[in-house]
Amino acid sequence: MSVENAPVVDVDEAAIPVEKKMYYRFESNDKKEFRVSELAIQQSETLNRLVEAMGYTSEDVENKPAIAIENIDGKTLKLVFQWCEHHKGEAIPVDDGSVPKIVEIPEFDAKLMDIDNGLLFKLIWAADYLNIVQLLNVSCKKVANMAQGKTPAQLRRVYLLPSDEEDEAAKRAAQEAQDPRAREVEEEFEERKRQGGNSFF
Amino acid sequence: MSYQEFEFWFMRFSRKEYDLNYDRSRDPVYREFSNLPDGVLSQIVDKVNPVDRFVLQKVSKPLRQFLSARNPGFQKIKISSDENRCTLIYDNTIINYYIPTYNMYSFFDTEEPEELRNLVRVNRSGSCEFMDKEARIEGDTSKIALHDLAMVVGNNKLRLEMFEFRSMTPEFMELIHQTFMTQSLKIQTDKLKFFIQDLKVMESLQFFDVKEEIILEFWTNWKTLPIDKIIGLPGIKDAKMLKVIMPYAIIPPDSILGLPRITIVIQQYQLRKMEVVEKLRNAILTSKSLEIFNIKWQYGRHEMDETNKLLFPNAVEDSRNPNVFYFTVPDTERTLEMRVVDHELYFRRR
Repeated sequence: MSVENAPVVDVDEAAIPVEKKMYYRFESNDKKEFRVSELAIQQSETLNRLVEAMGYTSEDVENKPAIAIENIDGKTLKLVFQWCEHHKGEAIPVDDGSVPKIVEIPEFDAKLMDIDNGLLFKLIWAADYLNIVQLLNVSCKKVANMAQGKTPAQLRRVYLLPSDEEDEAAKRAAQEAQDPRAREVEEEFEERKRQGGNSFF
Repeated sequence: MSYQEFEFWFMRFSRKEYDLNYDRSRDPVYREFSNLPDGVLSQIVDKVNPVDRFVLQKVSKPLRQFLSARNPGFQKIKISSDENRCTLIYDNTIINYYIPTYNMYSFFDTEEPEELRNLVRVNRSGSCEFMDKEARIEGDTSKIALHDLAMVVGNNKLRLEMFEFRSMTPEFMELIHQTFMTQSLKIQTDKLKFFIQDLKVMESLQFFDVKEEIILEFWTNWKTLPIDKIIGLPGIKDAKMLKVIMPYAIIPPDSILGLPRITIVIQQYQLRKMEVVEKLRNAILTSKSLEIFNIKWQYGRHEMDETNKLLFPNAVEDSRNPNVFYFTVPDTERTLEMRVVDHELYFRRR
């Protein structure tokens, strides 16, 4: 098991004279461990609720196993926690369902999201899953910006989407690849249904 | 090599990760655009500007289905055509559909093979774009343009501020009617504007649900048109407000001035002519059905204070509001209210 330290942990202990900050330990689905400050965790509604419900003490955090986040890999989780640490203490935007707001991507976020599309989509998925409102906002904005001024063919390449023809062809291929016996059974079932017969079995 | 794979290795190399033996099978399963949750997809498409969102509809069937359940986001649509091109303007983005004629061919295109010259060019430009973007499609100019338009107006979530018919060829107009009829369209818009060269364009009224105002802009051939027939059409007669723009220096005929809810747009200098002042005064005083009568300047602002005094010098000022005046129509019990708001003058029955 590897422990990923900074940049997620960027703490100057001397600068905290009164109360020692608590750092929670999280583990990704590929067994990478991260230490994340309490304040950074507040950016994620899901994790914040989770740690509140667990009610860990400083000792618990060190002695108990790291909190497992089973459906996010280490590479994505590292980005998520880097973002949370950078934006810790910032107000969380409230989504009141009104008209879409203008989203600016800060320089730090732009650099963080300078990644391949696959990882970007995983980051979006993680931000949604962990309910990190502003990270979801900026990452969605980044994907939205990719669409600017592109033709449908270019957009298919960017978003890895099939054209209507490719989609149809894939469906046909999938049907043809079906087990012939299963198809036979299915056809027989449909035929009996048409004839108004009783249960197939 | 797939695009996805290419991009993966490209990003690795750009990060100076040159290990070609890297085992990708250990990578976690990719989460792609196509399997993002609907809530996330909504957040993304809401952040895409409407014209790009429209292009997104052409990318794939699932995306098209997803977008068709959302407002396309346009506020204004303007359409026009001539014998060579169809133009659709969505907010500030202009999309031209055309096959270049010999004369239109630029110096750069002369080497182009014949078969490419006969493709329809779809050219997009807008105030936020640095250069034109152009695609080439095989087919009929009008049908391609209309197919695109139908994708937008066929969305029943569309809520427009303004839909405007500019100058149109009869053929394109006919094609529009056929398409709108087939789709049983009822386009929701606050304002609907017609540039009236002939009666054909008025048949489009049936495809709109106009919330606020219908605007009729007449061309120089206005005298050859059956004005009474136009203003008698159900959609016009019952409009919540009708605004009329005549060709330069023309005051609308009496039949228009006698409508119950009317805004006329005139040139500033016209009120220097006594006969125009008389005509407007008479129209306001004699119209028995008058509910609202507005006078609006075509260009710029004008001190309406002078105009109201010119029209009704004996009107009594409201003691609580210096911009409101009252006067009584002679020989009747009717009192009209006159209100000065910026460069508009409003009259209404009290």
